[in-house]
Amino acid sequence: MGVFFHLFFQGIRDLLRAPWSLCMTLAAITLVSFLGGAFMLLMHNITLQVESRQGNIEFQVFWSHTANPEDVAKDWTGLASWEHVRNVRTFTADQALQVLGESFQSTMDLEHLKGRSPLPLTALLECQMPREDQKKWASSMVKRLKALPQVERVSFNPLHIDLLSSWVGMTRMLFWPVVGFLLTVVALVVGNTIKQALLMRQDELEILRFVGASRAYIQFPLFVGGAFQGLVGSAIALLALKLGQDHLEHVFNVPPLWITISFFPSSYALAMLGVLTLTGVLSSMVALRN
Amino acid sequence: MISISRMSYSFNNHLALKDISFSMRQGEFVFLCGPSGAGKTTFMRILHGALPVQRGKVDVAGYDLNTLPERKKHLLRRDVSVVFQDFKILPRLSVFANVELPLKVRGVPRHIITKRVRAVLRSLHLDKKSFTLCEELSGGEQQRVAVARAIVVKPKLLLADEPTGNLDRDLSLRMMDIFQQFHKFGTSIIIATHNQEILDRMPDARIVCLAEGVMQDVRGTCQGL
Repeated sequence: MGVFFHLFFQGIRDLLRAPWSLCMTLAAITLVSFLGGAFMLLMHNITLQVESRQGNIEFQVFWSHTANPEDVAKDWTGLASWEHVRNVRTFTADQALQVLGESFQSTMDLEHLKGRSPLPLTALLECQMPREDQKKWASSMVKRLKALPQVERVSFNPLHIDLLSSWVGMTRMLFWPVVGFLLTVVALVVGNTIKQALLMRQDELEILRFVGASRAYIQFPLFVGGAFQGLVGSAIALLALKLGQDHLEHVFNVPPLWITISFFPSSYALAMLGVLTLTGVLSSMVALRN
Repeated sequence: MISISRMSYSFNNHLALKDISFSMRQGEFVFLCGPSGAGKTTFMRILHGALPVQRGKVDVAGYDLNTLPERKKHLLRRDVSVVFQDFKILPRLSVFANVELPLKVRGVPRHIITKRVRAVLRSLHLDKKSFTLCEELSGGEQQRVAVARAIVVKPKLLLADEPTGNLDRDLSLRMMDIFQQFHKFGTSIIIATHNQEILDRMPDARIVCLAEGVMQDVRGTCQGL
């Protein structure tokens, strides 16, 4: 056990002997891992969106400008109890104006329209469609909503669901080639560093062989070095991704997207650390074999 | 200890060793002499597994070198120590760190390593330089470090390639005394040397001579040394 720990720390000490080379390698692994992680994050969030919206439909109901807000407010309270309705978001004219202003961010100032908003009273109904006869159900729903007093227009658009599904299909198709490409880059970078270490320590390794060091004794610190580089590089990338996700979490949480960017589950993060560590070990093995 | 039958070795179309047959008993002391380029170093390197057996049959310390795979050569090297002509020590490590290396790779406990390394360094008058970096030592001192590293593991067979080449007369003779003491404990020793005075001091030792890749058992002064 003592020899194991000695060799383990030897592997890390050996890397630190060439700190510049180590930094460059870690930077390369971090960048590649970050790209891979960002791709995983994108896929994860798209999948979440598709899963949460699959089978859902959103109706936009607009009341006429002449409608009495108090009467409409009574209709809004009744809407939540309708069958298949999951969520109701309502907007008075001023609230709609505020949301519209937020969606423009700072490019347009709508402050001057406050109190005399031209926008209609609006409700967004998120519904879970029944499993059968969805088209029939949607058109009956439109008819029912249009029948409400003072309702001027009802619209719905399930197209974005199809778009998201297509996105997921495409990204899933691209996932393995992209991951394979990025892992190959990591393997080449780590393998090259190990090769460099071998060249730098050629004399030392020759002497170790001559004094009776086993192959495992010589190679284990190099494997540790490869694993260390993979692990640290991917850990830094994960940290950067988490910081990025924290920073961008609510950027798309505005109408009409309402998307919150969430970080992937810890199992994904662990898998990323494991795969990159393993890649480091494997590329060290290949470098030593050659 | 060693059994060689009709061994030849060539590199770059040059036949360095020609049809050599040689045997050595456990505990024997052999001087290998011959002019520069005679093939002494090549012979030593083959015995140590650093060069492959190209032709013939070679058996060293119970290991058949014709069939011994690369991954198991460390077992041979744990029984056979070498003192290289160019020392092969790590210049940026201390004397102590260089000498303890073969014990460390064998997983010997730390307290035994310390005890054995100190004893060997004392016998070679290197104890006061224990923590000096090898790159700061003279050629003679470096050579003694190489010898210390070879004998600290108490090998079955010790191969020394010109171990006195960088030493003055007194140190050379002292070094030979150390080898002789070591030999008394049963270690087989082969020393490649040019030094006639050393050969004269050990009249009982067996002498074999290599000239142009051919080996001769001369049991006396080597002609053409």
